[in-house]
Amino acid sequence: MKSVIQTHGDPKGAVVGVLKSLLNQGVVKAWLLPLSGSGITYALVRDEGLLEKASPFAPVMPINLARAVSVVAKKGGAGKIGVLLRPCEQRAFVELVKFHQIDRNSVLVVGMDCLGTYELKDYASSANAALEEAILRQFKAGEATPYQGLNFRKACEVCVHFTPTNDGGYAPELALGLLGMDPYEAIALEGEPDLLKGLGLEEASEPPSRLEVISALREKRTAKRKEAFAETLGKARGIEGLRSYLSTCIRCHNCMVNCPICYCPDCVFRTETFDRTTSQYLAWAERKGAVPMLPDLILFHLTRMNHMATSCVACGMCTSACPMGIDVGTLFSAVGEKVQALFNYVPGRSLEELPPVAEFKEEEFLDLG
Amino acid sequence: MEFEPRIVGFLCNWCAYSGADLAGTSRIQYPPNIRVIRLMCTGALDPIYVLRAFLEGADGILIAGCHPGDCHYLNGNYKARRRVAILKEILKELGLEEDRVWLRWISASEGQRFADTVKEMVEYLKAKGPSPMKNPIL
Repeated sequence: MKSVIQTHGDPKGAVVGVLKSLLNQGVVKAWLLPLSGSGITYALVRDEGLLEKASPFAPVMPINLARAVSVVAKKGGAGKIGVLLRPCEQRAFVELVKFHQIDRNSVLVVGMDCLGTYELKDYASSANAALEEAILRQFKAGEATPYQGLNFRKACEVCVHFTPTNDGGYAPELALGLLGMDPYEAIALEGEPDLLKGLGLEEASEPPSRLEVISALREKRTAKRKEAFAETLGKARGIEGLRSYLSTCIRCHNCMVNCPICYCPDCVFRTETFDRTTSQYLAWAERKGAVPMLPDLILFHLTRMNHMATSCVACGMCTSACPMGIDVGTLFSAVGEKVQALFNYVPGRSLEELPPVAEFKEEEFLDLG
Repeated sequence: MEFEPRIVGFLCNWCAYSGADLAGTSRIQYPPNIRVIRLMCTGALDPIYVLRAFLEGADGILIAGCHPGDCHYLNGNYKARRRVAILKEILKELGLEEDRVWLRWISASEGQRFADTVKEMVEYLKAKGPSPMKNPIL
């Protein structure tokens, strides 16, 4: 069911009203969302008063929040937790449900349109309210222009999945529609009829301009994405290209730690699998003349790609997490897109489609063997 | 001196490894360029070992297991085929010569097929030259 909430000049207040109402009705036991205080803090909020500090529209993403969902709702069985997710977080959420890292029935998702987010350090050193208002004002026309002197995160600049609903696929319990709307007047709210009725909302249709704005933005972003991916794949091509692309990597593994898809607690790179004795290192150095230290730079990135590219949601948190500014995300999403195309798989699109690494067909890739 | 490619073979215990064994006991001649690692199943092969072999100097990788439908563990080879498809696509997109990775189905009775596969692969890699991934400083 579709509905519209009137915001009377206060979009944040209107959304907080919805959150409070769902908490008071007992639909959710708590909300997992960003609070603003000194900067942005994600929190599991039980106290109604603290919801006043919720900051649903802050254009920043300290972590992919799906990771936090898998912390609080892995086992489930204790009631529903409401969570406010951007589209890339929502896609990661869907993947993590399919990888059994989140108990689907323990979570109520509120999705939202997203025009882009800033790097955390840029956000932290800027006037937060001004950034937020600037982006809210851009939803009507659907043209994302970064605040003066700043850039959106690279992944956001080429994001094509910026709405929470997709045809016939997974849709969150509630979806805040901002594109094509003036959030200072009204926000579209689509979702389960019971929830909307419980909120006292009537069926109402969104303005037709909303769909036009969405498709225009998608078209523009698709072109930009294609260009960025081709450029990156051109740069990282061949072993020399790849080495040069990753040449400033300091092996901190932050890209892996911040990747929502790299959830494995027993990741091979955290274990002793490839530890060697001194004599083995010496033999290795003798054979090759020299061994890079720390070892396994290319091995790490290529292996991680093999393990998670099929489910890469292109959230770009790896790029944001890289202290050396390597654009890991564009590389991984460019390759990921090609790998996903082999299986006609779009990460986060549906809860029913199994991740490519979790199934097989008897009649496929017949030319490989 | 002619370039002698080094091939690392990941062979499943039940089919391809037995096929290689049969090639040996049948005294079928094949080039000595392959170093065999026995696995219980191709489905147990993490791509990390293929990548490591390349980075450590392999010129080609042969992954060989039971024919589709014949897996000792019912479907391990189907899973392997997907992983190989993913690995090859990644190598292709990054210009890392995915044609150096071969997946072949070789049964325990196909000693000749194993020998022929190794011969064919050695010829292919000789024509192609050494793998660029084995540069000593990574």
